[in-house]
Formats: sequence, C-alpha cells, structure tokens
Amino acid sequence: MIKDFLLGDNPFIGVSHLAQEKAREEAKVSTVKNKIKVLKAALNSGATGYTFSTHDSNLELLAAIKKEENLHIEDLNYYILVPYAQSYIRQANKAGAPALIQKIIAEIAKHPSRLIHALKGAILVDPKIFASLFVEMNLSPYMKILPPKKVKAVLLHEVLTELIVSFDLIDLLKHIDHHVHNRLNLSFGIETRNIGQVYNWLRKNNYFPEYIMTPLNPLGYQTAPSKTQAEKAVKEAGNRSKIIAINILASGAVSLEDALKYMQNMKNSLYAVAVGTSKPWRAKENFAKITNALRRC
Amino acid sequence: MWVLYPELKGIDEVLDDDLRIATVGLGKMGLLHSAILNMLKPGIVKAIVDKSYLVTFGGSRLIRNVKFCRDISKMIHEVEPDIVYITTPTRSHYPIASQLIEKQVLNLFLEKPPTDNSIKASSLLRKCGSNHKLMVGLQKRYSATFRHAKKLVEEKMLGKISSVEAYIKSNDVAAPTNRFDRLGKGVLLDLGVHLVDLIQWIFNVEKVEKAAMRKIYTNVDDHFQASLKLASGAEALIEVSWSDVSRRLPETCMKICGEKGIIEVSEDYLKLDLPGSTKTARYRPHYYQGIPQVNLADPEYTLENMHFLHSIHYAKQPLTSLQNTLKTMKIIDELYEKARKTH
Repeated sequence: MIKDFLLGDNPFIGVSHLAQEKAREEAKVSTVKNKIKVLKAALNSGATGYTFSTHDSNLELLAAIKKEENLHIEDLNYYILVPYAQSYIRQANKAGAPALIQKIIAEIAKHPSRLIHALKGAILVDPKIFASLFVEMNLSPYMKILPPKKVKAVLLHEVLTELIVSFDLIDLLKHIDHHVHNRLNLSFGIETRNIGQVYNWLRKNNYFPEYIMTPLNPLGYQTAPSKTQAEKAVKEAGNRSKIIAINILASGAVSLEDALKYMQNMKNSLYAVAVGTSKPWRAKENFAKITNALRRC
Repeated sequence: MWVLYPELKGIDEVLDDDLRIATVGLGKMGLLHSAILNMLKPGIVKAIVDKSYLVTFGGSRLIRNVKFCRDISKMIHEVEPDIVYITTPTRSHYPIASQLIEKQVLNLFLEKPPTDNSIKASSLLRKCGSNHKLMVGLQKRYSATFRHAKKLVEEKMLGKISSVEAYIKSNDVAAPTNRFDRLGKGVLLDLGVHLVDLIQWIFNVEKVEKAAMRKIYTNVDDHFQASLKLASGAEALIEVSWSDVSRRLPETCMKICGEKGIIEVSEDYLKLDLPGSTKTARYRPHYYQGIPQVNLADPEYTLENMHFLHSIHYAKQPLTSLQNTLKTMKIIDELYEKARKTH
C-alpha cells in the first residue's frame, strides 16, 4: 500500500518535461507565497510530503515554511534529490569539466567537518570519498533547516545514477549509500529514468538501495527501455526497494483519471507517488483524487 | 513512432555487434555519449582519452573497465577501437580527426561543429576513403518533432512555404568571458549550427541575404540574426543567442508558414494549424513512447548514437555525415562573412 503522497517541485523550479514554454509560464507564478499555498492545499488534501532537488529556490522556500504559522515544517516528509544537475552542467559549459572538478574539490574541502575526509580521499586517491562528500555538501544547507527525522530519503539524481550504472560503478554507489546512512544518518535511494537497465544491473550486483524513484505512466514516457520492461522491473524491484513513482501524468499528457486507473495495477509495488503542480486549486483537487484512489486497498 | 525513424529498423541486431569504442575528450559531451553507448550496450566504451591529468588519473581510479590515456596514438595501439567519438573543444577536432583518419580508424563521430570552418571540413573529407564514416553530432535531425515537421513539409501539408521564423537560444554565456577568443567565433558556430543545419535540411538554403552579429559578454558573436533565402523562394529569419537568461535549457523553435497553414515546432512540441480544418498539438510524451531505449538527457542523443551504430552495421553513410552537413558549414562561413562586412 502506498505510504507517502508527495508534491514534486518541478513546476516550482521551472522544469517541465512537456515543454519549456510551460515551465516558463509556471515559473512566473511560482513565488514563495504561491508555493506555500500549493503545499498547504496539497497537505490539506492528503499529501504527506514534498520531494525536491537541491535548487537554491527550495532553500528559500523551506526557510519561508519555517517562519509560516499555518504550515509547520514538521508537517511534511522530505525526499531530497541530489544534486540539482543542471547547475553543474551549466558550470561545466562555462569552465570545462576539469575546472569544475577542481572547483568542487575546493568547495568540499572548505568546510572543516569535510576537510578530514577530503584529505583521506586525497591520500588514498579515492574519488569515491569525494563523490560522497559532494552529495553531503549539496545536502548540507537543507539539513540546517529540515528536521532530520522528517527527511525520509536522499535520492541520487538520475544523471549520476545513470552514469554510475553505465560505467558499472557498484562500489561507488555502495560508498555513497554507506556515507549517507552512516555519516549523515539518512536513508538513501536513487532516481532513474532507465529502470529496466538499472534493475538488471542492481540484480546482477545483488544490491538494492532502500529507495528507487522512477517515472511510471500509462504512456510509457520516460520509462526505459520500454513500458512493459519498466513495469516488470518496478514490480520486481518493489520486493527489494521502496519505489517512488514520478511523472505519473506523463508530464501532463494523460488525464489524472487515466493515470489513476493505470496505477491501480501498479500500486502494490509502490511505496510513494509524486505529482507536481504550481496551482493551489489543482493541488487540492489532484491530491484528493490520488489519495482517495490509491489509499484504498 | 518508428515511422519517424525508418532507418533504425533492426537496431537489436546492431547492438549484438562486438564493437570497441573510444572517446576523446571527457567533458560534458564525452561523458554523455559514453554513458548512452554503455547503456545501449554495457561495456562498449573501452577507452577514454583526455589531456587533463586530473580527469585521466581520477577516472582510472574510479572506472576500472575503461582504459584512460592522455595520448591518442597509445590508445589506438592498445585498444584498436572500431569507433572513436571526438568530443574535445572545436579547434582540436580537425587535427584529432586527421590523426585518426591517418591511423585508419574508419568510424569517427565528431561533436558539433565538426570543424571551425568549411575549408577544414572539406579537407577532412578529402583525407577519407570510401569506407570511412564521419558522423557529425547535429542531433536535432534525430529529434522526433523536427523529423515530423520535415515530413509534413515534404508531404505539402502546408502547401507552398511562404516564410520561416526560427530561433535557438540558451543561457550558456551570461557573464563576461574571453574563452572564445582563440576560436574567434561564438554562438553562431557553437549553437546556431543546429538551427542552420535544420533549416538547410528541411528547406535547402539558396543563399544568405543578410546577417548581423552582436557582442554582449564575449569578444565574439553572442547574438546573431540573419535572413536566408530558401530554395522555394521563401525567406527564413533566424535568431541565435547564448545569453538569454529566460532559458533554463537550450531551445530551438521554428514557425513555418505556408499557404494552407502554420507549423510551430520545437524540441518539445509540434503544433499544426490548418485554418478551417485541423488544429493539433503533439508534445514530447506523445512522440517518445518506448523510444529510445535509453533515457539520458534529450532522446535525440540516444537516437543519434543508435543511428551511427546502425550506419556502421549496415555500411551506410549516416544522415549527418560530414559530407551531408558540409553545406551547413558553408552557410555558417557565409553568414560570418556577411556579418563582418555589414559590421
């Protein structure tokens, strides 16, 4: 049975997998005030959490929530996607990959609590240590605001997940998982848009992270290598990991009704479902329907 | 959906091939192509060459099943790749590709732009034998929406084309920098090459009418505007910018007006308006269902890589071979020449 119903942050940070023109329109109305209204509406209609990437605007939003009277930061569960990849892609465009790596290493070592680990990474010449500290560094400002108990999972952004899988870096993935669990005392997961390939790879390595976040929708949009294989992978991985379904509306290309009908067949394999909107009325309407349809056994 | 990719029939058979791939230049694009290729076929990328010690040393500590080198000759000798992806900065494409052609590497993928001018592109072609395949990373031709637009134009859905307005914009250069000084060319060559290539591919450009460029943050063109005369006689107005802060991601848009209606197309959608008859809009999720089989960045990158592997398997020249994109490079040269004269 689905435990968490999450509001996703894509419309808040100018991301739309339907069209950039839609994302720009949504970003225009996405003031902190409006985002809080959306969160409140979602919460009042059954949402239980917020899943977001480490985009600067989310820091601003969470800081504002902390000051809110009618919305308490403890009211929500949080699933944090690390890092906000586009920001690093832009930096790589500007300065090149080696310069970006150097900059990241310098940033990591700046903080006293990470310095010793960074030195260990340098002495052992172990990039895995730097990768784990990179995740920690991105997470750090958010953990100063959020109650640790309410942070349900730290999820590795799909760009890193797919890179790890494509280069067969199981030790790296396990290292980050271990670091998040043991040093940060948080649960760890991955996000992927290639669930079929990723599931096979995890199975081959006999390792499953606690959480897997992946798109799931009736169109098979962003479900690789195919809709059928993705569904099979979700069902099988659901026995080992907690699956969080995202993009259930195929970026707005399917109706909520059709999406919910489809999810009926998948819900036993799912732990959480996420949907995003920038409109309070839609948050109210959608979460009422989603929780009603998917909470029922 | 496969109707837009007829050339990819039999791709599963292609992926059974035992190919060895090397990537030269582990920047953003090198990493992206390598990851896609490895997701398509695990372990297909055997070697990575990069001049940065940090990248090769760090990479070799992390990625055990790939050979990291700083020297191309050494890599060729040790790995004997069937295919090499060149994803280094533009200026180095020509010498690296020349070296690889000389060393008898038959299949090369050149990230866009293939060279910094059409003279070097022609020179590369002269160095190649008939069995060489040089594919250029002009991946917009593999985007479903642009393929659909081309199909509709060819099927005369709009009747005679009267005008085209198009732009490509990004937010890649939003602060002063001198990193393009050595290349001496800016946004038109780097980003505009996609737009010019699409227009050439769909409409066939007859000549450059007007061109103007503007510096904003660099010492080269940050903004470019031009008018192109198409083979049909229609005019195409283009605008190129890499300093548009409203763009989170690069975006290419085209408005095609014909006697029967209008098509608006971008990477995200195709909107068809035939007054009195049809008004439809199809978005990414309508196009990319079960295709491509790897989702990493935009689907067009995976489709482009699949196309290249397919071309090699069936011994065909790729759609975006250097030969097929040479005209695009000539138009780019003409645009710069015209803009400099205007300036």
